[in-house]
Amino acid sequence: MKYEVVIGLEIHAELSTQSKVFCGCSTAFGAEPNTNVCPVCLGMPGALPVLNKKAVEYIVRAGLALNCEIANYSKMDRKNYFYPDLPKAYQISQFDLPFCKGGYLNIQADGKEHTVGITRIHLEEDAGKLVHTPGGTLVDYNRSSMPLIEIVSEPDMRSAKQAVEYAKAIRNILLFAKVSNCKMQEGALRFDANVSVRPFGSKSYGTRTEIKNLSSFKMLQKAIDYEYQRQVSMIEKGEKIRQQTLRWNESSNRIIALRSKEDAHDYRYFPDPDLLPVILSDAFIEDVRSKMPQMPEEKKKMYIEQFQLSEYDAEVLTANSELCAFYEEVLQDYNEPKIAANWVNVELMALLNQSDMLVEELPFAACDMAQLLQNIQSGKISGKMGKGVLADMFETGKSPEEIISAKGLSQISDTAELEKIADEVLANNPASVADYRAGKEKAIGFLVGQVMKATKGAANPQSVNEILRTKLNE
Amino acid sequence: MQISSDDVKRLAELSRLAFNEEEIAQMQENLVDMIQYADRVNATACDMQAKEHILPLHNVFREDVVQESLSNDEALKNAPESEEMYFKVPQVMEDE
Repeated sequence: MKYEVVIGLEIHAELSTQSKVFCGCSTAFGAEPNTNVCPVCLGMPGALPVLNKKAVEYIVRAGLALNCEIANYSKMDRKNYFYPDLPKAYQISQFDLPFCKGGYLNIQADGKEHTVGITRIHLEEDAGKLVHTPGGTLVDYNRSSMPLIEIVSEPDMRSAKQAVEYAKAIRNILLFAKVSNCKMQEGALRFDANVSVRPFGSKSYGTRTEIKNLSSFKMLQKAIDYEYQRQVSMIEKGEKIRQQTLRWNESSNRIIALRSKEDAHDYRYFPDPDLLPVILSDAFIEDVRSKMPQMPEEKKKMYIEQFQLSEYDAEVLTANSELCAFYEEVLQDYNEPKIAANWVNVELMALLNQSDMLVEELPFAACDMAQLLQNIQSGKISGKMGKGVLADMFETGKSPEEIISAKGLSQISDTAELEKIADEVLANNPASVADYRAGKEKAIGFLVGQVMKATKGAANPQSVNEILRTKLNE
Repeated sequence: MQISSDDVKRLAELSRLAFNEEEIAQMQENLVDMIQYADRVNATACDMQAKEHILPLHNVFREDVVQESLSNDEALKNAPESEEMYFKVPQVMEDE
């Protein structure tokens, strides 16, 4: 029998506020252990949490970006469980009245467009970090009470690829909305995958398992593939799938069952009496909407309509917020959107892909790229030289001006000099000259090549072409 | 509403409390009393919605401004055990 996988994702994203969600401690990453802590985020008796207004604004922005309905009335609840990363033995979260409900996101995967429903987005606090040592467990509460949003999807995905594309699209939206830095290596974006299988064509769902804390797209893909195989082989052996919480073990590439005591998920939620309800007026919600940064769909439309970019170029640029930001920065100093898009999408991307680097790791700034394009535009260097200069910039981080002058690059635009070289080439290649004059148009290519060779590539091939034609037709 | 001894055991486990049989029986009685009391409160006419807060307040926010945190020494001062700059707790096993 053929089985279909059914996937729902819970995506946790840390909001990029300056201070934590219920206290004034810094959210800066990488501080020494237990230095961004206070009585509130250490859960000391008598401390009073107060909600960060920016966090509310950010979750509303995320909700609007994901087509959600924003609740006029919401509240915070306590989710109770014991674990040392939680100093209060409860996590402040939202149970029945989250800020956002009922959204959706369109994604491209497996060659088709899919709509993934978003059940809800709620606000909660992050937990601390545990370091396991042979002598005991060490706890760092710097991350405790960092603002976190949890985006819960409907079980709408039918392949690991779709799940990964959905997760990437969420990341892109959150980056464009400027609510989270989504740095996965810092744990700012994490996934829990709910996975079940069922025979193709079946309407009901199978028993699902939850794989917790996947911290990269690759892990998400591998864990879902593994869990699908595991469930299918269990069913084929006539075994029953148990509803349980699992963890992906990256070093052994396999799934491990977490301690099942908390499996019943008896969190005994109740309203947090320390925190007051939040009432958001329609005016507040509209205000957040009016101040929304431009979302990828909108940008794509603008690129096609105003910049006359191809659908493909617009898609590539808006699928990557860092690339998109870089491109727009280039445009600030070099206002030729089509040419800039071509250089960013083709030349720059090729260099990035070759060395498996990200845009934000580039050793030069967008204004350097703009300067390079200006040099090509003005004819100082040729496009071909420009590619070499870009590769050097990529390699060394030096500015284009530095590289151009250090290498003595500059295009010979002095017509008198070019004409002299052209005359020599024509004199030395009578056969090609005769061919051209006899109607073999293509012979000019060889002659242009000879001039380029004589100038060590420093001539503008188009000018050379024109000069040669004029002379040959004389 | 009835509370079984299994209910008490389950609650005790969730609350990380250990009771002997005698205490469980006593707890069973106490919990029934509490629930009956809550039922009486629920039966009282009241125009307050369950979702509402006991205080007539809402939208109490703080601005997103970083304030000074405790020093590491202060943070760890009352910890029963610490190591380097960390709180130290008995080993928790992550895997089954």
